[in-house]
Amino acid sequence: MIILEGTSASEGLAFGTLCFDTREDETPMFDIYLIDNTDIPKEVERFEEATKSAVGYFRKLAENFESVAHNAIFEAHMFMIKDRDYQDSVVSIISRKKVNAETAVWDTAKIFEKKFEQMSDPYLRSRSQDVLDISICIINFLQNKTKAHKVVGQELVLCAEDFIPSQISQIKQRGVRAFISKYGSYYSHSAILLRTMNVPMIVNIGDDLHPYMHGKDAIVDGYEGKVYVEPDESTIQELSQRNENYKKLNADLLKLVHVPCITEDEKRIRLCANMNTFNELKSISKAGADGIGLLRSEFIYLDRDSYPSEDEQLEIYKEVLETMGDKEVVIRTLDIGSDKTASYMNLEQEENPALGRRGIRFCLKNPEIFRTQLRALYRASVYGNLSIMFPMITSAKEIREIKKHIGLVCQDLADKNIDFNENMKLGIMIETPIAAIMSDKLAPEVDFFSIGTNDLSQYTIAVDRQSPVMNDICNASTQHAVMRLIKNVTESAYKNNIPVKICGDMAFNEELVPLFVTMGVNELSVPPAKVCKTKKIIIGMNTKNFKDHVRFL
Amino acid sequence: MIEKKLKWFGESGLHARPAGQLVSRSIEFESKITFINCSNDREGDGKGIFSLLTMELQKDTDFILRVDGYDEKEAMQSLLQLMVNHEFIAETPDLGIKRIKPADPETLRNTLLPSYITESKIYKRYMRQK
Repeated sequence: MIILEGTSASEGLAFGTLCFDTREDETPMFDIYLIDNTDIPKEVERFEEATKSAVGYFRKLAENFESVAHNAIFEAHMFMIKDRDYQDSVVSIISRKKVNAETAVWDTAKIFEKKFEQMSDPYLRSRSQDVLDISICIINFLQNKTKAHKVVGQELVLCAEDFIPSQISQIKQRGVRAFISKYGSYYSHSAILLRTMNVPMIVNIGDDLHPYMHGKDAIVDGYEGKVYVEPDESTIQELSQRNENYKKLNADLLKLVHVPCITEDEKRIRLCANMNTFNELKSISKAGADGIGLLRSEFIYLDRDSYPSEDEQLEIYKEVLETMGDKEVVIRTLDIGSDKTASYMNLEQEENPALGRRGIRFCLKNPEIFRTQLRALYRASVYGNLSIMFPMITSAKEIREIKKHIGLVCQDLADKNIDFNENMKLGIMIETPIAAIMSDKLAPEVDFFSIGTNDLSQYTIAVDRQSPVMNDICNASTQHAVMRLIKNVTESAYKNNIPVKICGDMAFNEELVPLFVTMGVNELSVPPAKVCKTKKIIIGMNTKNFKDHVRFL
Repeated sequence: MIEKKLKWFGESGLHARPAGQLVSRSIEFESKITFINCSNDREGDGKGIFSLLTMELQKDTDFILRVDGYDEKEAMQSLLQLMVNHEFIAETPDLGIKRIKPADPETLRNTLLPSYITESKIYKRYMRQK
């Protein structure tokens, strides 16, 4: 047994096989060429040979699994390869178009893919992936490559140097149980995503994580930040037991869903949930939250080929608002740049993207994109209790510029007789040190503050949140500095009589939550899975006990 | 040629896994085996997985199973038994087929642990060693 140690970035326990191959081989590499009439039988024979090998390959995969359910999946793959329609199509393309077998297989794959994609049932639509899978497998055998095909349906622990958010959203459907990486940090966006998905992740393991471990069994302990490679019996037993205990604890927490969030000395705190993807909407409505405190609208823009239209956005906002009823939903406008981009946006390359044109700076530079989102938001405002906020604000000038855009959008909607709520609450994210220090000047301009602690930390200590250095530098004293900034913000907000919200990872930190409540923070926004845990901390505390802590911060 | 009108009962329609099981049974017989979705009249060849999938047979939809050939009786009987065993169709008295449940001594023991542990390879190996 080998034990690897890293930093836990997302809690949980997972059993699985270590897998280093994370590449998605969607389009295989092969030569396209024409063949002579006389070569047709030879080419067909090549195809038949490859088919046999591919069937054998899937049969071997199936033997590795004892469960009947897994076996049946690979059995289905085998029948797809042997399917008469599929084979006929390949053979007829070879003889009709006189092309090599690889080309014919790939053309057939595309024909079948189209057939499946036209179906109304979403499950059947996704079977197009299976057709591509078997076709890639056959092409690999045609080229005498045997290993490149990815293993499906297996319990995997993915290993990499680092993970990017889009990788995680793509991988979600596959049988991945945990993510471990050589570098990376607790504060990266991929870690945030996995925390909301309750999938364990361990980062910063270092060079001990070596590719020779590929294919070995392992247990990932996301609570302690340890990976046990080829664990022994006693370790397995101990960890399964511990996992059961954690699950029991979670079940107890779930009982708090319908309990109001009030401290011992009867201070009412609004406890909201963060929303990162559309799929989370269901879990949020059941989590016992008082609303959505931060809807990161980036998910509408990522994983696609062009900017979403006004109507597309309106549909999404409308559905969120209608699901949440009269509970408040705070939508943050597009915060693109830094590590969150999509290829169609053609952002200019910068030396330091985290310190460059991101957040509101991007939106103000691209007013058409910004106004499209504002129009969709204002049109959606009549369907529920909507507020909007703006990321990366540094000055009152920016706020006034935003209001100019809003004025134009509202004027246009009014001219066209489209309903909207003109008194929608407008807030700003406090996530740059300058905004925190100058918050007394910003407060008169807005209806609320929302403190984004992740970015505020990174900009305060001048370390990129993606960098592994973050793990070394981030400690109690840097946290102390951020707490001083937050205290300053709550005081300016109090003087100007506007509410303060906190989102980011500090909002569910056991030691800090009581301090926030005592400072006078009105709302905490946490991942849906952490709502009950945070509620438990608040219900059990009394601000009397923390007054001195806050005074001498 | 014999025909039987049935109702697809299996959770979430005729999908890849059940289709694979039907094909693997169908190819044991010489007879021509056809499935017909009554809601859209699409036909599926029992020996071709893609043609079964593209029928888009949904849960609670009627379909016709048609078997034609010299071993049609055995084929029909065998397919009905398979579908009843896996709960693709309901076990009704007029069908004259009883569900045979596979004996599984491990099920009882496994109910105590969550499935993602009991289904994992490591746990299974550990149980075998024990």
